[in-house]
Amino acid sequence: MLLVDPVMVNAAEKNVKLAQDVASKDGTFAVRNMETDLVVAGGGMSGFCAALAAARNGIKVILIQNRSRLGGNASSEIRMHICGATQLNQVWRETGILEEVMLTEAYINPQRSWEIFDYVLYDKVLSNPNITMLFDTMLYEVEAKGKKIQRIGAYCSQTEEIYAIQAKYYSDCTGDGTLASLAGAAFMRGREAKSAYNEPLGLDIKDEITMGNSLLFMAAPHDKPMPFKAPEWARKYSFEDFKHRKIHSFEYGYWWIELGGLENIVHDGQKIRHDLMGVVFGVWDYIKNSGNHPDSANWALSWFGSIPGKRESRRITGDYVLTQNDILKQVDFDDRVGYGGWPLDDHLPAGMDDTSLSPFRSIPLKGPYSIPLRTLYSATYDNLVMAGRNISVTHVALSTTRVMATCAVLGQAVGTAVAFCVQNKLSPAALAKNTAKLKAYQQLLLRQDQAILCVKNEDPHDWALKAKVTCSSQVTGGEAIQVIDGINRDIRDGKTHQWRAEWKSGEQFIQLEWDSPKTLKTVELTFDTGLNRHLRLSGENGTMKNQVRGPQPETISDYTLEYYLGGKLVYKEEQTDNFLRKVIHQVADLKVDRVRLVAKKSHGDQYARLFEIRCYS
Amino acid sequence: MIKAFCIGFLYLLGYVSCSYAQPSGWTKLEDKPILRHVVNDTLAFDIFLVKGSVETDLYYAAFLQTNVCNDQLCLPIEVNLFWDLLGTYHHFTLPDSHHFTKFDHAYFEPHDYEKLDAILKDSLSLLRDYQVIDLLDNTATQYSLEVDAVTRPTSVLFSDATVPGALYTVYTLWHIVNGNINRELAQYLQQHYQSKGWASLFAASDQAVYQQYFLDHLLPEDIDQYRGQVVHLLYVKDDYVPHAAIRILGDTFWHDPLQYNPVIAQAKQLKPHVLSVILQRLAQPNSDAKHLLKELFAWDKLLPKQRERIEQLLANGD
Repeated sequence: MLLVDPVMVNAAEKNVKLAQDVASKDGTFAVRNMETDLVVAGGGMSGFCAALAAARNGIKVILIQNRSRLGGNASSEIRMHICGATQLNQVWRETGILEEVMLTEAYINPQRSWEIFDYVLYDKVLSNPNITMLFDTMLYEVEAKGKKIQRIGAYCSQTEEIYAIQAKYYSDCTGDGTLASLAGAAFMRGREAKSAYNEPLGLDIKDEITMGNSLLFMAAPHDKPMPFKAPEWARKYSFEDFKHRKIHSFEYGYWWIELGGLENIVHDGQKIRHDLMGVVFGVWDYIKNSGNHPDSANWALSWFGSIPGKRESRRITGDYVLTQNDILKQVDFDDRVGYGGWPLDDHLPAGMDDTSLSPFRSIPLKGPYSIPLRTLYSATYDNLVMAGRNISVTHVALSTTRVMATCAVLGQAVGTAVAFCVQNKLSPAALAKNTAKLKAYQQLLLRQDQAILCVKNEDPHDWALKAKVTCSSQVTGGEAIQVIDGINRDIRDGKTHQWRAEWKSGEQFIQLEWDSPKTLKTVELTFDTGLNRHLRLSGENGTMKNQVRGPQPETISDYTLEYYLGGKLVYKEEQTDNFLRKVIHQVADLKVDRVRLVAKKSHGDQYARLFEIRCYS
Repeated sequence: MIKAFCIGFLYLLGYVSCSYAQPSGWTKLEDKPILRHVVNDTLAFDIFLVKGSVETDLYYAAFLQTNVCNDQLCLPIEVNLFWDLLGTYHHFTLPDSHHFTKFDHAYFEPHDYEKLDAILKDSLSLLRDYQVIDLLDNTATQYSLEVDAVTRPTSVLFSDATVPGALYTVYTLWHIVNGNINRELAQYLQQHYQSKGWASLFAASDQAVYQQYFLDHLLPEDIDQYRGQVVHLLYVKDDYVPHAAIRILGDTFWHDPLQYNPVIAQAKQLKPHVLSVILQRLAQPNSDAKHLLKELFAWDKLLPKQRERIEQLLANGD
């Protein structure tokens, strides 16, 4: 049996409906008919998060990815480091599934291996029985009828399989909006005119131009000179070509190695990739052989990408189009489901074809901005959703929403939304309009640690909100009651929103008590993981500086959860070496009137810190 | 430039200014203004070509007299504004006994004027992309004695983009000096550069932008006439002007040792990256050139690639 053959091996376990395999037409390709709740097309950060969120919320998912590894631009094949709201230099590092991934990777990967990042994603998907993972599988056809997509066709050349997949919902996380385009869904492309959405950064006249693709490389120092001879097809560069493009170090490539915005970024991809290779080798040739970087003498290329990282292509039209004005004004949408915080970062379409101009213009933001659900489902099809860089935004707005941390957040929003819609039997469009259901969905997102603004925990099912909170000790500003104040992070309102106690007097505890016993199934804890800092794998030493690799010092590592009834300890759990922000403890219908968390130590901080406790029956 | 600024500007200005006054401390080169800049339908002013005490110190200048208003209060400002000959904002001066004021009529301090000048010089300032109302802190208020009311302060996130307490003044001035006027003045330069004989002025300037403009607008038929000035630009402070000069001189120069030997003689004055490119361009060295190259070879500050190239020139001659 193949190592990964989820279709066959786990069909019974996963309850993926399989028709009898249709005998292939000519004995070569096998045709697999499949049925599921959600197909996620695209296994980049948005697709990964969408699939995992949906699966964790109880629906069946088929995730198709046209590469052998997950992560897209963040994978070892492209190696772009994940950017997002931490760029604000405030407190807004994204949480949820993305935070879980980043903490895990930081913990298990001191060697900074990109393949280990791939493995973290792979492990999380493979470990979830609700996900059927199809690698090296390319979407090639979509069948639709009326306002619904009926099925998609995909094939895997490696295994000579054709998949015919029917689902209740389809999520386009391809980045290029491929699924939407095949279905004939409305999409946008290029740069809008000012007049379209009254955007100050819009053009006088709209065009079809986009931002370009980039190709990265990595290099390493050696203990002797490492000569380099460029191939004939490498471009030739001189000192003036780098007037606006700084070569500050050699170990990691440069985002400004960018081309393709003036071409068809998708259909001209073969040429764009060859051209980018010419740039990469030309830039390296300049570094090694111009004489202007004598300190590069002992450096040699160790890796270069063969897949360009894309920034922009199609943007699927939703019920709302997010604009520059929404972002600068930080509009508080009723149907907000996530946030972004990267600057408005538009790139010169010509890229390295015109080195006389600056490669980008970046406009920093005041703070994070909300993204509404209405940008994440198609206006054309009731059962088509999207996440990533192909959502319903203008070109200008895309310049901030396109970064991978934001894409990951939106993936979680979409996956959770689809599960919610399946379970509540309503469409995403209906959800966006239903105030009560929308609130319940937002509460679900918050409970699952989604990065979402101005939503407070008001979950009627959370017994913790009705508990009396006491503790062994607390510092001023770190009062224990804050663990049930509804806010699970620093939001720059002058409060910590966490319990804090000093370790110097030993173990510390915090406890919740009720007047009458409660039957608990889960206790959910949210710890402090230093959301004011960057946390991301990068090949660039400067980017890794000021990060903490390994567990974050603020996080409580060792603790005990004690469950009491009538003064008697009825159950106890020990946890050691925790490094995660959100931890869910399952207890089997335990009747308690008091839960106590005894914090024993952190990963280095002087305080025991806890943002939130939730308790559910 | 943001469209909304035009609407906001009407809101900001409560007074029409049609100033014909001469910017003080400078001499007009011509009595007539070179153009009349229209900011919007309530504000316009004349631009003059002026010179300072040094004959070659030329600017476009205007005297601006107007009011800047927020939602509570209007403050008068009078200021002399100066742009360089490319149309880029250069500096401002105040008429005698005039001060800028900020929140509750506090006078600008010297460091406030310095900061204002730095902000006005930043053509990529955030002021370009945000409406003034979006730069305010929506969550805070400050009490104004002047109007006996609360107003909103500037958001701390934008404290670097303005002079604290003077957002509207800074915002107004920035949009005037960095608005359409830049394009109008650049067009004026393009139309009058030749007729005013400014090529020599630009070539001799110590400003990189003027040096670059001179090189970019040097016609092929004029290279012989200005060759000396172009060679002089090989040695300037800017990193990129020398490279443009190298290109302008072309192969007819760099393949003729009678022309390039004086440059090799002064090679130690060149920036390293400039010397690298020149050495790559050199060809057909005569005996004098080889002698100079041998002397240069002994210099301990040569980079490895430069040494390799000199060895190649001495061995092969190209």
